[in-house]
Amino acid sequence: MDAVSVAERIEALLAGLLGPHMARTATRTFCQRGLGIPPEQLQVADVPRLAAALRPALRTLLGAEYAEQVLEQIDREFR
Amino acid sequence: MNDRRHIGFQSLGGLTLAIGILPWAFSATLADPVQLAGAYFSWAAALYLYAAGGAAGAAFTLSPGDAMRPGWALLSLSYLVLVPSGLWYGPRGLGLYESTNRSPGILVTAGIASGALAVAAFLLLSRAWRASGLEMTSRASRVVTRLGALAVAILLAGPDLVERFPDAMRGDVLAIGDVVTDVLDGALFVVAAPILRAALLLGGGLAAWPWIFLTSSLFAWLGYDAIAAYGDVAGLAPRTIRVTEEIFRTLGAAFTFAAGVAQRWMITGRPVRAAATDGRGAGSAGRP
Repeated sequence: MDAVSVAERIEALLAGLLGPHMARTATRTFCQRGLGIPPEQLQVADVPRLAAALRPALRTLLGAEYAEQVLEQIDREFR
Repeated sequence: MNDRRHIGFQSLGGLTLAIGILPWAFSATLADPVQLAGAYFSWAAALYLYAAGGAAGAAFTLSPGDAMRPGWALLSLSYLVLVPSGLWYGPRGLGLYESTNRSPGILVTAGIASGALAVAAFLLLSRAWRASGLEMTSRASRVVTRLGALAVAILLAGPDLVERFPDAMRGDVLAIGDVVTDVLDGALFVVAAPILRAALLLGGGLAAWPWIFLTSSLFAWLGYDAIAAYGDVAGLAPRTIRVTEEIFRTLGAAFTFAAGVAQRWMITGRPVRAAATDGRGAGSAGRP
């Protein structure tokens, strides 16, 4: 699995909720903001940190409970 | 938005639009303007409860501490405060508009409270959206949106504000109410500009629906103000103006209900796995 596919899989997971444009933008932005790397360099091992970076945004938009379910789903996807 | 999970939201939007034509149906069946005014009076009270219920549903579904909860709660209150004062004021029909001998003080106070609560609600919802970190538009784009909203606000509230201001200065309670309400209506469009951006940026996602419905509600209230401000100038008959006002009022309140329900559906939905086996499909976290 290459690094781009990790970012793309996260984008795909978020796309249904946030829309394809926002899913792509959010993944890119929070990779840069939370991890300091471009999405192309994202590894499976980085996913928990990316999820942590996404947490405040998802909690605001979806509420705490549902946001945690979405983050758990992302976590399961890469386990 | 061909995803099956959008069907419920799309149906909710369709139902809301269908509710929006009911004031026209009332007008078509009630020729007597006094009866029509009475029907619209009762209809407005029911609508405000309907909108308040939808927004309260969202507020109560969110957990304490969730950023958007206070915004939804205030939005619910902004409709709720209009019900008791409206009922107290009474439905005595006089021409096309309800009338009464009671002092308008309570009605004016309730109108101002409702406007202030709505501004506070949209301010909190807009701030929650910005705090999410998903507002990734440029500063220039945000300024342009705000200026556009300000221009619309001035265009809609300005004429009535100028007309009523002298009476308000002479102490006319109704005029004071109109002036304050005009200012609050104008402020509402400006503070709610981020809601429109949220609806656009989240386009195609399930999370867009509450914002799409909130934006629709704002546009309906904008239409309500526009027909009130420019209906005469456009040469519309008084009855047409009245019916169109009620259609916009209905859409404004009913879309608020829809937004609250959509928000509730979002929160109570279950995440589902990506439908596409390669992880690139439209399927993702969201309501099943």
